[in-house]
Amino acid sequence: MNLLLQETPKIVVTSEDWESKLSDVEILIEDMNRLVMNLLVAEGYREAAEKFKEESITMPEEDLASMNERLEVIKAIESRNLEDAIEKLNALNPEIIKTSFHLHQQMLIELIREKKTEEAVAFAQEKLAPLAEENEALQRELEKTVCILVTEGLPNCPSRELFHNSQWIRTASHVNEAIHTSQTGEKGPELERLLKELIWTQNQLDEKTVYVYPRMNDFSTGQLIYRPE
Amino acid sequence: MEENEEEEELRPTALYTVGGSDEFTFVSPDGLSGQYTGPDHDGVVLQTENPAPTNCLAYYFEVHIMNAGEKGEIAIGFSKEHIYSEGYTVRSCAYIGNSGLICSQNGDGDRTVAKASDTYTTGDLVGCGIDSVSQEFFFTKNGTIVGTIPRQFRRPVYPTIVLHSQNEAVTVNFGGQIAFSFDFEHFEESLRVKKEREIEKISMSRSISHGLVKTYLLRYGYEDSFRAFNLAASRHTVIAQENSFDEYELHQRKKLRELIMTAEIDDAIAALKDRYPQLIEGGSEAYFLLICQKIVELVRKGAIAEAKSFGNQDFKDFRDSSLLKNLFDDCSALFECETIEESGAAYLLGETQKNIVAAAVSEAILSTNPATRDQQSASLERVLRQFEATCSLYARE
Repeated sequence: MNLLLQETPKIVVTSEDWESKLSDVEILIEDMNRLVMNLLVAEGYREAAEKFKEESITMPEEDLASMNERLEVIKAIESRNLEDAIEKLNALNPEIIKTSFHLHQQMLIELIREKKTEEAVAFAQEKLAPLAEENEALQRELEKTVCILVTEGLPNCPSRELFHNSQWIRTASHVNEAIHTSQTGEKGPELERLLKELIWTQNQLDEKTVYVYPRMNDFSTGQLIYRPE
Repeated sequence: MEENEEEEELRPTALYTVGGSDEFTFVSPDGLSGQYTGPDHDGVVLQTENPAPTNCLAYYFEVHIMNAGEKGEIAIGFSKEHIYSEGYTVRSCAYIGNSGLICSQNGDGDRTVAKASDTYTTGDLVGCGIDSVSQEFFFTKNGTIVGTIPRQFRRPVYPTIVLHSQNEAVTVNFGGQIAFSFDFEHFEESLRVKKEREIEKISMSRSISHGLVKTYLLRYGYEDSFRAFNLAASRHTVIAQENSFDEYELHQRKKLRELIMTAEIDDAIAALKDRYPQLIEGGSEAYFLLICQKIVELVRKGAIAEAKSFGNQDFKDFRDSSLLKNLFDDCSALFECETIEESGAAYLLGETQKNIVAAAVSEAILSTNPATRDQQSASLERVLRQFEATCSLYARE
């Protein structure tokens, strides 16, 4: 039991007070434009970034031309051309080939698709398992992938989605993030990190402080609600 | 988001007496040492002049026990208020020398005692800090954490030392000049990593950030960006149908944005008059911003006389708003001062101001849509406001 919640009376921030607090926050249009541009560049939407640069006079933090090599790798993955992607990635940053769980996962899926079962088992043990160590989410992904080896013939194989095109898109997205992080030191778009930090801060306020305040759960509408006691 | 530039918080730098037997207390001129020479039952409370800062993940100070005195009853910690009561401050937490207990009381008579830790005595270095990630007070002895206790009272909190028995003497280190015995930098870094990990673990669908960006691009009339992003992102995210994006007058808003960004203000005003006369007749804020932008563009071209005559028109309706009056005064200052720099209104000549005007015009046009007239500010803007407000509330808790 959290002693803080147990022994300290709650302080309710009224909707009116909170709305007044919100309207006191100064949000600059250039900050919003910068966040949008950062997302477009980080996620590799070069054409949209170029249009946005023209329309909003917002300068990207990196030269848009420098995105080309990254986008070539992504294009190769989305076109299901793993060999070409690895070749291009090797020229760009060979370290990512060694450390990317998702790229290795895609290689494993391809081995399974080609019915190279023994090779797939060895690959999963030697290459993929070490990359998933100490990461629960990746371990679950690994289990899900290895699961295909056992259930692949079944009509309702739970891991069947790994054979869909969406898996290539997911892999491309992870590799894109890995390349972008290696080039800029940023982990994904700033906006995404900010949204996660907002969730974290709201959770902290709920769990570890005396405040009852209007919480934002739905970011698409920006609607505020009081968390039920 | 960049932090709003706030004044730097004052940090604790010195101790002074807030209660107890003044006549038996010595505090050094620099406020970094204190000694109590009076009888055992009295004691003295020393507290800092400023509270612990709130704009950091952790705060820490350290105390060198120069003399544990007769009974070694020194208490080191934080307290909420400058109130002294029978040798203890209310709403306080403390690590006590001779018992090794860590106590906390919240001011409502509730007292929490953590399990006994090490005792401390003459020669020991004892530290006390606030961990804002776990919302705990933590205590150290000779560089090692010896205990923690949940924080039961709100900020501001002041570093506090209570000297209870005869000849107890301490010297305090608030950091900076002399290194701590506890590796506080490493501790702070580990908190940063812990917070980052917790944040990273939060799973979030890409469609959320994509939805915010699409709404934003639409709202402010960035049509080409919206179309390019929509096309590229549609392969990666599926956004729920209820979030379908309203393209109300998007092309018109894009055209007006272009006219404003290329300084063709007359054409923008004409287009607004032609298509949205209600915004002109009703004297909307967007129309006023366009008029100000017209003055700015005339000044930029050096047409000062024309700018003056344009600025002398009757804008009484607009000047009722203090915000708009300030803007109008800045516009006027552009042609009334010898140099633009002197006017303090040079900001009006930048691209940012054009963006602000274009955004206001786009929002004004959106307000003419009967279907969404009561809509709140753009979701992205609202999310950022919530972010700033919750961070500020959490920091000050």
